[in-house]
Amino acid sequence: MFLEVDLLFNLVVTVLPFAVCIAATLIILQLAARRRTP
Amino acid sequence: VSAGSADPADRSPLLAAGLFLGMGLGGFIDGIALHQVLQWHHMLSSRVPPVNLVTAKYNMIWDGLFHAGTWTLVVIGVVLLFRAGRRRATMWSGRVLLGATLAGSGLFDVVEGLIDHELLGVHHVRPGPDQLVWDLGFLIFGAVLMVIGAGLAGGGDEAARRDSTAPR
Repeated sequence: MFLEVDLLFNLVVTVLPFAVCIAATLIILQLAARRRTP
Repeated sequence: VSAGSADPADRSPLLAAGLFLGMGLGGFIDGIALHQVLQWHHMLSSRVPPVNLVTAKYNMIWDGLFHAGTWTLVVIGVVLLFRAGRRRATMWSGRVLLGATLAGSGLFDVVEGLIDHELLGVHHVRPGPDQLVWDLGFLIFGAVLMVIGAGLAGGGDEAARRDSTAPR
């Protein structure tokens, strides 16, 4: 059964939320820094 | 992550630390409460439903990798918090740190919910006939955390300064 499951797909779906969260955090920090700049 | 300028009201170091700590700790709460204690929300339960010990063990492997990711986020958050504490320019405010942590936790829930539950459908919060209700509740909970956290962390400079301790 395990061989039927796509290992790469599982890795992607596990890692993807982390990658998107980190990207979103970096964007939030950039926006916060821009808001602070007069 | 940008370290920001030497502005004494610089809250960005604490924002960065809190967001990473919140995402990691929020992921741990999810993993401990939903995956392990309640036995819901297993990482690949829509692809390999955990109906026996073999399939449950398979999901445990991917739950473990999920926890490895949350652990990494917490480590990054601790390093950023340590660096923030060494900077004189950091606004050292518990209000900002708490707000950023809540916002990070909510952000993680919203992103994870949208990608894994709604977009890819690899698992649901509580699989079954009411899974959509649980999934939407999870998203709403995350969004509420984000709003509360953003309100605390991004609130008026005066409130954050009042809460901030004197320069170290």
